Order: sequence, then C-alpha cells, then structure tokens
Amino acid sequence: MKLTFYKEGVECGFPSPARDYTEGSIDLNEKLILHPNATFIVRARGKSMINAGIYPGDLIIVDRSIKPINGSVVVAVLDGELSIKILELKKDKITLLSANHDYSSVHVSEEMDLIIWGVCIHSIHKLYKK
Amino acid sequence: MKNKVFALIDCNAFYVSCERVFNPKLNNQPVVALSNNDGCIIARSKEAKALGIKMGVPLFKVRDIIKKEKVHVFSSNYTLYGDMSRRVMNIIAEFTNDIEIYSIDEAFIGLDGVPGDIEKYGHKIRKTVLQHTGIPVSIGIANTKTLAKVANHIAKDDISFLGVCSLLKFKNIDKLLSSVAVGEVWGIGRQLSKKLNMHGIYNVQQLKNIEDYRIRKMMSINGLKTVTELRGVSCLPLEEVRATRKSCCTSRSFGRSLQELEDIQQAIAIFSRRAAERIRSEKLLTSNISVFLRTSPFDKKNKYYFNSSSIHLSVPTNDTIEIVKAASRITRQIFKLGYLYQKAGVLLSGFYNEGEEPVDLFSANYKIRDNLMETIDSINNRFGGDTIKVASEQHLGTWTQKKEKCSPNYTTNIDTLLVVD
Repeated sequence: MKLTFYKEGVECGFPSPARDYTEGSIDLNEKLILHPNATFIVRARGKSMINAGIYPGDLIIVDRSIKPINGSVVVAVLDGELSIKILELKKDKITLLSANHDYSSVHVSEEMDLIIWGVCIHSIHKLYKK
Repeated sequence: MKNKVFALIDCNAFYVSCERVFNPKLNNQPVVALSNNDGCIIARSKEAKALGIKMGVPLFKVRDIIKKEKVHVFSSNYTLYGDMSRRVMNIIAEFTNDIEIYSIDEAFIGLDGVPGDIEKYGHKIRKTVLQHTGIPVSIGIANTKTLAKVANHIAKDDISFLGVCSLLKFKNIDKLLSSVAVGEVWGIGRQLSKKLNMHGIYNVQQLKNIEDYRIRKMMSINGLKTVTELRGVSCLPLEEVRATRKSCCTSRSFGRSLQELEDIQQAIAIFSRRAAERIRSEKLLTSNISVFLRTSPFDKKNKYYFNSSSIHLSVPTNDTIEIVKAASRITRQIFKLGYLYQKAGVLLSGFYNEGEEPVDLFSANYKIRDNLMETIDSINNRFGGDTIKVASEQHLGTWTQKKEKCSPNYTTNIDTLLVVD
C-alpha cells in the first residue's frame, strides 16, 4: 500500500480565517528609514523644539539625502554649532526658527557659515518610563 | 576595441573626515588620527599637513607642534570608520555594477557604458557621497587603473579640479603627468622611487617614456605592467573578488608593557583565534604558523629583545584550537623572562584552499571539528566577535589597547549617539 505524504501538512477542521491575510510583521526600520546609507540617528537635547514635537532625549531620525525646503525641520550647522531648527526660506532671507517662544530664532547673515547637516524625518518619543 | 574607463574614488583624509561629520567644529582646524594603540599619525587634515606633520610619524615626535598649534588628536575609532566606509561604498555601488573595494577608504569602479559626460558623472558621485555621508572624496578618471590613481592624485592636489580629474578630456596629458612625482604612482614604493630618481626619472611623464628593456632592468615584471598602464593600455582589471592572500597577520602593541608569559600567552591566543577566523572566512588552510615577540625599540633604558619562530604543519588547518595550541608552543619557546614586551603577533602562511590540501593518512578524524568551528563562527558573527573564545584567552586582561582620545560610536551604539540641541 502507498501512503501519500503531505509536505505542507494537512488541515484539520476549518482553516484559519486569517490564513490568507498574513503579511509578516511590521518592520520599523523599513517604515522610518527611507535611505539607510544616508540616515543617522541623533539624540535631542534641550527644549527649543518642543512645539514641533521634539522633547529632550527624543531620538531623531535624520536623512541627509533629502533636499531641505521651506519649513523642514533640520539639523543645522551654524558656524560649527549643531542644532535642530526649522528652516525658513524667504526670497533671499534664511532664518533658523526655534519651536519654543523662550528661545530665539536666528537670521542667517552673509558672514555666517550655514550647512544643513540633514533633514529630520521622524522623532521617537518615549512614553512609557519604568 | 573601445577603451575601458576606470575611476578611483578616494576619501579625503578619511578618518579625519569621519570625525568631522559628527563634530563640525573641527572643520578648517588641524586634526590628526592615530594608529592602533595611539602610536603613530595615520591621517591628517590638510591644515595638519600644512603644519609639517608627516604621515606615519610617531606621536611623541610631534607632541610639541600638537600642543603649540592646538591640533585635535583622535585615537582611531574603527567601529565608526568601518560604518562610514560601508555607507560610502554602498552609495558608490549605486552608480556602477563594477566596483572593487580596494581599502577602507578607496574603491576602483568601472564606468564603461556610462552615457554622456563622464566627468559630470564623477561630480555627481562626489556630490552624492558628500551630501549623504558628509565624507568628501576625490575622483580620478582614466583608461587604466594606474592612470586613474594618478588622476586622483591630481584631483586632490590641484583644487581647480573641484575634486574630480578626468584624463579622458585632455588630448595630451603629458604636461599633467610631468607634474606628478614617480613616487605617487600605484605600485612604486619609496625604495623603487629612489632608484628611479638615481636614474634621472623623477616624474610620471619621464617614467612613461623609458624603454621597456630599461624598465625590465630597474623594475620587476609588475613594473612593466605599471608603465604600460601609464601609457594608457589597461593590464589590471577590476578585482571584484580579491586574489587569494599569501599571509594573514594579527598583531598589536600592548597598552602597557607585559613581562609575564601568562599575559603574553593570552594575547597570542586571541591573535590566533582572530587569524583563524579570518582564514576560515576565506576558506583557507594554513600550513605555517609563526609567532613574534618584541620589546619597544624606542625604550633606551631597557634591553631590546626580538624573537620569532614558526611551526610547519604537515596537515594544513584552519581549526582555532590547533592554531592556538601551535602558537602557544612557539610562544613558550621564544619567550624570555626579564624583558618588557611591547608587541606580539601571529602570522599564518603557506595557504591551501579548502579541499585542495594534501591528505594525511593518519588524520582521518580531522574533519570532525569542522562543524564546531562553523558553529563558533556563526555565533560570533551574530552576537559579536568575542562571544565564544578559547579558554586560554581568559578575560581581556591588562594588555588591551591604549585609546585615550577615541570618539563615541555615533552610528552603531544607541547610548552614544550624537547629541544635538
């Protein structure tokens, strides 16, 4: 007598209704990081960006390959100093805005040396603290 | 036949550039990076070069300039540099199918079939790498690898090229070649360079024009290849797979001098394991194991001692345990009490490819440990290099390296990220 061997296994009872809908798990790396080779994670310090949703200690995902536009939250290097700011581009005027009234914004003048280090694309804020 | 097109992409002062990405205050400042154990200068920013700090000079010889000129000094952070290198190489690989990663900071690429202006393409690569990683690169483009390397040197040397020098656009490159010293040519070391100078050959243009019989006399067979490549005839293809290596050396200076045999045995066990892992990853077997030990050659107060010895194995192996055992035996032979040891190393050579080794009738059981080694390697790959060790390594003892000015691992450790206000 020949016995058939089912490699896939044999279903008993009803098949799971979810069977055709499984998609694997959610990969946050894939969702939050668009360009892995150009993406760096930095840690925010201070409260100057609180109204933009960036709190002290948050992890900020910075993508260097994205072109900054008016309103982008960026990591800026102004005269060698790193900071997270909102980039405001108006005609010939560049301003780095803070997102907290207690902090000043900076008009970038001709003599200043401004490099946009990267564009902040996500902030990861911890809600559950042990 | 259509001429081939090669580019050499080389990161400018790579280790210094990596530090600058995460510490922009260092831009326009003199910066140097040190070799393992903070021994010698192995990377210099152009500002540090301008101060006369030479490549490879021991740190203690330039302490005064460093202090006076406020030069920023970094211990080498290979974790950071390795991660930045990986990013740079990945980005370059998006521009071409043909890439030979030549070192941590250099890659040759093939640009055959790139439509349009190749120099423009070079600028595009340069701009992309700079924007995506913060690392500035120089690019030399030519019909041979050797000329691409010369072009790269020109791109670095002459700022008017804006980082990209293509020799393809010049009808006549003689004038450019005559501005480059022979010592800059790929494969021409200091000794050969001196020899050529003695024969009145100082620049690349002169070297290119000497007769073949004179080249054969002055240089090896590789010399003829080099010169042929300088003439624009490609002899060296891209090596996307590295040629089989001839030896594998792991050695380090100790953080402080060691006197005890036990400490040195521990270090040798670690070096042996790393070397064994490396040759296993390349599917090689070694038939010759050497160990060397030495005291500091700069130490004027204590006696100098250097010794090395080898063991030849009739059955080639890449088994960690066999290699550690053999190296330990050699160490016992060459160790002498009463010296302050500063450096030691393990050198494996006499390689066979796995499966091509001579068979020994009396070692039938030999293969049994292969599975064990495979398992150990996969665990160490997954959980980090030192998860499984040989017992003789014990703990990382008193001799681990000096790394006084090491930057944080900004890109690989969540606890040491770049902090931004």
